Amino acid sequence: MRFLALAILFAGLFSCSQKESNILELPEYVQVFAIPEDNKLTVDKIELGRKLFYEKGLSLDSSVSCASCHIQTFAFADTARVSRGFRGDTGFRNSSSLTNVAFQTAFFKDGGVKTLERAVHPPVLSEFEMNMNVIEMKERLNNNPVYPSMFKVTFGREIDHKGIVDALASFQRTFNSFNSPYDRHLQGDESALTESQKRGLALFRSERLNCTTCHIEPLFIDNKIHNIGLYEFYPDYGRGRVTLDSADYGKFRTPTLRNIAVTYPYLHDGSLPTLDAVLLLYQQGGVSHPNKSELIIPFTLSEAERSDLISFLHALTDSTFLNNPAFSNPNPAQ
Amino acid sequence: MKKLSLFLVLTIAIVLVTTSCEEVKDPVPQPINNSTVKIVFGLYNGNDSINYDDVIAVDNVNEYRMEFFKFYLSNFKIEKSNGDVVFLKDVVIANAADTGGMTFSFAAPEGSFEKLMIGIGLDSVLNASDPVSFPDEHPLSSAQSMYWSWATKYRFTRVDGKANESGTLGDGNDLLIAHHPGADEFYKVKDFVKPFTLVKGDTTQINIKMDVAKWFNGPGGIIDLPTEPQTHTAPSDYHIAVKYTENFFAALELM
Repeated sequence: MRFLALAILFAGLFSCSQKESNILELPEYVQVFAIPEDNKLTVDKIELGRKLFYEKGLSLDSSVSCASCHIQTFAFADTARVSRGFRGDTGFRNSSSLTNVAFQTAFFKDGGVKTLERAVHPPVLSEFEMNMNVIEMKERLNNNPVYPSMFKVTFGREIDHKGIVDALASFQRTFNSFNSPYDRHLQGDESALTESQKRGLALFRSERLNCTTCHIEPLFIDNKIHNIGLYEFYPDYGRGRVTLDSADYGKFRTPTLRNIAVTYPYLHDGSLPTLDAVLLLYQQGGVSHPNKSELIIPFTLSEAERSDLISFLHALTDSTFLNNPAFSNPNPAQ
Repeated sequence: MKKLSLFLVLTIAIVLVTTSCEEVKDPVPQPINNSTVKIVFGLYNGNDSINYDDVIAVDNVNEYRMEFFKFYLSNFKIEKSNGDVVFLKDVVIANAADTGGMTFSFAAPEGSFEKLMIGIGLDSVLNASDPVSFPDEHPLSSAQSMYWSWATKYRFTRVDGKANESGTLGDGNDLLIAHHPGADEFYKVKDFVKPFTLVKGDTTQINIKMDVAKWFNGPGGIIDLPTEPQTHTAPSDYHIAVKYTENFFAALELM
């Protein structure tokens, strides 16, 4: 009898550990990100998060889901300058790519939110985006034939806001993109990059251009905010909107450059349509602003160099990530 | 078997020792909450009692009507004449749209008290709460629609509604009102000084007047509704939030 009890206990433990392991496959040159103690990754949670991510019922008029503005084929960004949300309303910022979002320690364009769990629910509640309220959201999910049982299996409890948030964050923690030509190059594949791309990588790493101070390899982020001199007067205060500190006006989080070729248009407001336009801004050193980063210094770039650099940026596109069926819409057509 | 017995004996001994230690550490008797203090907030326009969704005339506009009005109150305390302070409640949310939504009752010990102290808004600790971690009915829950997700802070007061400068509401010239002040620096404790006695088994009621007219014309300055219909405590409208907060504070007085 005692042996039977032990056998059941071990079987239970084994099945749990199976469910929680092997979810993340990261290359060895990437340091694993932290996962909150109260939101461990499990297969069930990720699957629930995936379903919720594509759930249009999370918007008040059932017109948009998270995936409406974070489109997989565009690295979970949007090609619209500013995405349309509830009733076709627009916000005022370009949709951020969710590529490798789990590695971020600052979220949103202004970097004001510090955890992924806190970052996933604002768009759902925002009147410009999904305009949902928590009570209505829970009621809808409770009336859905699938969600109550999925929550029960995943969390062992009824549907609640924390469960929704945790599941959405868990799904997004799997948005890991490390299979670009650049990654294969790092792993020793000499043919992964073209000659132009190799020259572009050398330029990217050069002191002359100084790109890597903020776009630190291999994630191409620094989890910091900077004013890059886009405007003399910023209609959007950036981090200053959160801190109410004028020293933060016009400061925005450094975005990843991974999959950058498909996340156009660029910058916090989507005001620059092409990588060429962004490079030109940096080349000219931006415009004058009291908060402009000292790192933004004009530099020269020949046409050939510009072409090499852009070619390298294209080598950061991970087509397996953009087409991975594990990230696709699991819901029947809505 | 012997080892198991020894283990059990040791465990029981440890539990007994730690329990008895706790009793020795805390000899001060806790006050017994055998009375109730009931705090009632009433809306006024000057000297006239109003319902929250009444159409009223206020400074600079012909008609003004609230459609949503919630606000946070926190750190309720009462103080005796000898300076002893009794803590009543950490946080409540007032909802003018609910019947009884601006009335709060707290258990308290009997005795004579000199003043009531209420934090208007949320202190920095409460303001840093995670709204997702609370059940829906909790004042700080995201279900209250008071959380500013982009700033990871709470609106201290949320007044949404409509106003009409010179015509009548609905004539096509309505102003959309959204006054949402909220920032750590806006938190302030208000003292309501008035002797009152709490009697064992009884409820003592304290009435507090909230004069809406003062929101728009108070010590913080005039809120010119036609040009200042909204504030979200953003850099561009922060000055309105400051005025509003100061006026809101002044609009509360004992009756």
